[in-house]
Amino acid sequence: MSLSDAKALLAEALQVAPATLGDEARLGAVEAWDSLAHMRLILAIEEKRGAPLDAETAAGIESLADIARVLAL
Amino acid sequence: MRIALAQCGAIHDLAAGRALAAADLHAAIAGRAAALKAKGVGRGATIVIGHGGSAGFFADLFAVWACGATAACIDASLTPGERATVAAFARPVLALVSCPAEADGWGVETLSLAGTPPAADLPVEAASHLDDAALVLFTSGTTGAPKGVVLTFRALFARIALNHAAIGDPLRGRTLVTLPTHFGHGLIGNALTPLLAGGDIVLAPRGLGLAKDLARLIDAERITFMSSVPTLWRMALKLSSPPAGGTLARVHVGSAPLSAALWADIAAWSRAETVNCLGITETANWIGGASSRADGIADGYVGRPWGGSVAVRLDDGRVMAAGEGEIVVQTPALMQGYLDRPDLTAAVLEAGWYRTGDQGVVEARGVTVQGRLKDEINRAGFKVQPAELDMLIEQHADVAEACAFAIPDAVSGEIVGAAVRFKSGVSGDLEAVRAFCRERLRREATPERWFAVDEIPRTPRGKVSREAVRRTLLGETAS
Repeated sequence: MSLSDAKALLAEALQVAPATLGDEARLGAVEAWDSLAHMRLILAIEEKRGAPLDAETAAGIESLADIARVLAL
Repeated sequence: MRIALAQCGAIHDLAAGRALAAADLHAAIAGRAAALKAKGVGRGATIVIGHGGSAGFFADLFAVWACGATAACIDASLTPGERATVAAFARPVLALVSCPAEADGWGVETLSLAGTPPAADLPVEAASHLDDAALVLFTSGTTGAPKGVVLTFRALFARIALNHAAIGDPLRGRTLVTLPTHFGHGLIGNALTPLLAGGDIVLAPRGLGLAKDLARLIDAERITFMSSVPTLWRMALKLSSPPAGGTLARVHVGSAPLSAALWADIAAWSRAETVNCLGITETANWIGGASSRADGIADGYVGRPWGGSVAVRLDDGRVMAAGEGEIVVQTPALMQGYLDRPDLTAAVLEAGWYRTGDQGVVEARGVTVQGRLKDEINRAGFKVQPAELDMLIEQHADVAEACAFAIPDAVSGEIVGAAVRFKSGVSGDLEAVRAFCRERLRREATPERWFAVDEIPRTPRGKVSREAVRRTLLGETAS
């Protein structure tokens, strides 16, 4: 799963255009990436993977790179 | 008003890394009250408290009350424009803040009491009365016509006493405050109720960090009681393993609909008595609740009232002790009214009953809420008035018409959507309209999904229906 796929998923959860997100996007550094949007992201990742994330993995997602890593698991 | 602070617990402010024991809190209140008195604050004055969620907030609140004045507790995230709107309506004599960023927009002197030296004794008590206004809590109108719920000391004391009787021992341990202190659920239910029962309160940073850290906090802080909104649990059940310490005895959930499935999951995770509460700012928060253990779990079930009466109002205006209709309540904790809005007050108070705006069933086992009659969007427990948003969006020079509406959401319960019809000849820029709103409105009330439309969808009779707008734009079928 590429960084651009991860960015598309994140953009959908944040309700922003993918082009507005840099490759270094992180939780807390993007205004729209608040706690509620983050949970939408977690649910979207789970849907994409077809399986729930365990609490430790879900809690460890904090950046675009983390999203790409978890999607590739 | 003299509050029985001798029996109150301590405040543990985790973000600030400090704890304020009851004696220290008393000294801080005395010092701050003396400072306020020196500014001429007394009975009849309204003081804005423009910060919250800290030990300093509670010291400010009790100091305002010690002077016999009224506290208007305001969301610190309001934009300066929203503050100006609230101030023009509430006419405060002073705004208490905790940092310079909270000071813009009030139009009156702003002051931080953080460095005020403690004092030994409270000033001589003002001649305040039980029926004086203690609190003003704004539920809407920060961009237009503010709607401020006025609660008297009598209503507050009644609600807190009824809460103590209904909840009991868990309040006297340690309570985790997970909610903001500018609305009734967080301030009266989650914080003042345990604090004035002699329990300690633990103020934790909110949001995602709280959800991730919830079990560890419950164990480390030996939490016995907490209140919450369903959204916290949608996050925490996903991000946090259950607590292991066994201290948590009782959990309240309120401010938004709680499904039976989520209720059962919370009860299993927490291993605590989990109570689905019905609460409204106008009734100083909780009216009653249903216990996972004593009453059972069912969609919308909120049990019997904790004091006062519940009934249903039928479409023809008759009030019945049981049946299906709009839920109406009588409670000693009822608001005095909406600040300077007798028209709004008259619309909800009818023959001694408060109309909740909730549709439901009242029967011998208690109340089951089925849905809302009022046109309101509930985003993670925070209420957004769509008509107010329509008016704000329509102030943009390019917009001909707007319609805000609720969109179901798996995390927040609902999020805010907005349909925009641009003026003819204008190439509409939704991002510009969003930015226009964001400059004037706090983030939690700003629509998250935007739709440019040629026409605002209407009912077959030509009336704008938010439900019809949602169905059309989201491709839903009518239920």
